[in-house]
Amino acid sequence: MKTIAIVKATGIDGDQYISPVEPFPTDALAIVCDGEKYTIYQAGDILPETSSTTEE
Amino acid sequence: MPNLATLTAEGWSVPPIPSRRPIILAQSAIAASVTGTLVETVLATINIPGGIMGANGAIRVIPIWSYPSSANNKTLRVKFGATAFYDVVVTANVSAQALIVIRNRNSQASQVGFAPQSGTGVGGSTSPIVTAALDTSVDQYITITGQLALAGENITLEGYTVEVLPG
Repeated sequence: MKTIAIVKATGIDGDQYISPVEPFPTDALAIVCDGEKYTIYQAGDILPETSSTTEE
Repeated sequence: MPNLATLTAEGWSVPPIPSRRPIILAQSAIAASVTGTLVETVLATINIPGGIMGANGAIRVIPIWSYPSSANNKTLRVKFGATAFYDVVVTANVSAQALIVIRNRNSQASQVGFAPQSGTGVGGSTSPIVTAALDTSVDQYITITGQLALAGENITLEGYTVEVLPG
């Protein structure tokens, strides 16, 4: 598991948005942004649950 | 003058047809989620190399999302540069897939797309088309984003395909 820092930028429409400071690694299996950082799950990590895995 | 076949002493001569095959630029089924923030969050960024579209080319984007069903807005966007070509709010359902086509209008610096707030990106709409003026002769970017209205929920970009249809 590794983390990637975020950058908060303002678009030309004036709205703020979050993006990663570097590209996601090619061996990522799942990515989660919590508003503070991007967490990159890789082989061997326990993957996070998402709505797709928790909804009936 | 159109590129017509001609009859020669050896038979019909057919001029070569320029390749117009779609190019898969990016494809992923790696789940990318946002939670814990109300700020619009980039879940994927795809580079569109300069000149790859051509003056009459198009980009085709097919994203698929999942999210919890609730009364709270979850906003799903696909942007070309800063312009949203898909900008849909979902609430009480749990998944979405869309077809977004961004077309150059006989110019590498003029684009048109379907009404961005209209559901799946196909069918009829009472909303107007969206236009942009990005110079596609140089590198540009598609971004796929999610934005929550309740920080405790999540939006997951389950996957996407981005193709270029040169023209």
